[in-house]
Amino acid sequence: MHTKKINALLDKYIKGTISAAEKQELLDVYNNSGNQDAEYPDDHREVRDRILMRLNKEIQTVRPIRSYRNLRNIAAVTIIFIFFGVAMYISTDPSSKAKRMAGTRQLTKPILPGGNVAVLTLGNGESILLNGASNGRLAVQGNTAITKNESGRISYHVISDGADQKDEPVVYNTITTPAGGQFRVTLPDGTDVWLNAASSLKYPSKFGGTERRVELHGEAYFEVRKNKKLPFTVSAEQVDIRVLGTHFNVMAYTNEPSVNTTLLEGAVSLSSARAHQLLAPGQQALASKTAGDIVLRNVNVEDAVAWKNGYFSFRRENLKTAMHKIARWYNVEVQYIGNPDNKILGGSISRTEDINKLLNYLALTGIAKFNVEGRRIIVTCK
Amino acid sequence: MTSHNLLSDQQLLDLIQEDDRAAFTVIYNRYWEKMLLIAWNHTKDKFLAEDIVHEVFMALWKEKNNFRIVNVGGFLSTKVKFVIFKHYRKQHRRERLAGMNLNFSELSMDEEKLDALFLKEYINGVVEHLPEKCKLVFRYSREAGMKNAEIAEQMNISEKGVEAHLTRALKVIRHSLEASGLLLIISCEISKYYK
Repeated sequence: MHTKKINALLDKYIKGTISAAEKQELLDVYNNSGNQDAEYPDDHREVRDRILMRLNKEIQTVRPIRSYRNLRNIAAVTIIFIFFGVAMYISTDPSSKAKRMAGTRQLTKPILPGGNVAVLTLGNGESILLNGASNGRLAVQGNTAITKNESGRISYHVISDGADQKDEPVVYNTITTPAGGQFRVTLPDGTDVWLNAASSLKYPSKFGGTERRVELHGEAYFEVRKNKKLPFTVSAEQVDIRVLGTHFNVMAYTNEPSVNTTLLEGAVSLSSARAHQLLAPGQQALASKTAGDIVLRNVNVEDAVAWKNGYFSFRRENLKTAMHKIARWYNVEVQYIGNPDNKILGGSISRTEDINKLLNYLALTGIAKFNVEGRRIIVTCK
Repeated sequence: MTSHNLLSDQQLLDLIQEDDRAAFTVIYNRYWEKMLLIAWNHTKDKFLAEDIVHEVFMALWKEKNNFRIVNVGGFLSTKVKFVIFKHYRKQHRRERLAGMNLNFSELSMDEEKLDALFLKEYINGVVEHLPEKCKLVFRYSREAGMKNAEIAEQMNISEKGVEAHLTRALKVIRHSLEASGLLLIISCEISKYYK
């Protein structure tokens, strides 16, 4: 058993009695054990996202756009030993600072960050409150079953019961998130969609015909299952986004001036009433609602999907747009005193952060003063 | 502004050291699976494996400013190895403790020792990345215990050249470990190399 071998060698390594040959042996056994071809039993993407979300939750920092260092990790003091032979290693845990701050919660009416809340409306008009439902099968439409897999996610799949699928009438389902909600749905073709707050997605319970078409209001991140015979089209506020198999984010809120599509992987073509545009990975297309044109720019795609990974990412962002994002997630209103127009913000912060802490961080950058009254945030700019 | 996806590991690392979360996410995407499979192959336990991946990337984030990471892939590989070693120790101790009345504090000492060993090995990795001649000079001096004059003769360069290489090597190592406590220790050691 390699475990016994590794433990025996580790013992010597820790005690300092290991020989060079034995150290090499330790390395070899470690490497050999680590490089077997065993398959990891869970779904690749789920695991990746799960670990990432947990990381983002634990990492709670804000990067102000000015070189403002007071949020630095002042609790980390490390005295290290070096291979010259000195043997002392002490370090204090830098996460203790975060724990101390968490205790200073204010006692005002609680504004909580959003969570996995959504409503599913079936073809027959029936609504299901998804956050309240327990895991397992939720409903069946024709020969498609809808299952709640875990908190925050539902998926569609065909149940083979022998019935002829061609005769099935197409029914449309809509999944809607309120302000402060988010949800994930796996569509009948295997496409994954993450829906942000205050959004809705309408789609057929079964894809067929010549294309796969869904209708989006609000914001969603898509990982589309490849199917050359059935191109996938997202229709969002007068803009059509046509894809083959790809990962992209669409932001189409009614209170924003443009529909923004950000492409991570694959290829996408957009058309609005007056323009067409092809997107390459790393690009974002802004389809203006007023001008009717489509403008391209290169962006950090991770910023566009930060919300899906559990955090807000502001990069040279207009204060108002940033406040829109915060308002949608925390389900609050925003009021401005003074002129917010030329205020630019930069930084990132976890979406599960307490609203007061978040506003404190923003205030520290000097961009504005923030006050909370009930469910309204008052932003005072100079 | 180019997409982070097009940047090299080194460029992303520079951004990560300025708290850039997007850059951190890209590094995560590049390496998470490799880390997971290694952890899984050793532990054969999904929860443990994911915990290990979490610990490795948290370490990257926490230590990004404590000492300057020279090579992301190297850091992650070395880190995951030591996290896994810690796991073996924990498991080993648990098995031995079952039925016995042993001291739990011994376990945390093991962990600290492994942390120290990690640092030692990581620094070794830093030396590996030195340019050839510089690395050789440093090794002759430190590992073989040769005097500067001897190294000069061995490598057919001037003594001044040897000193220059040593200075450079120490500078690189010092830069890669910027914690204040370390500088005190290093400056004592530096004097040893100037005879």
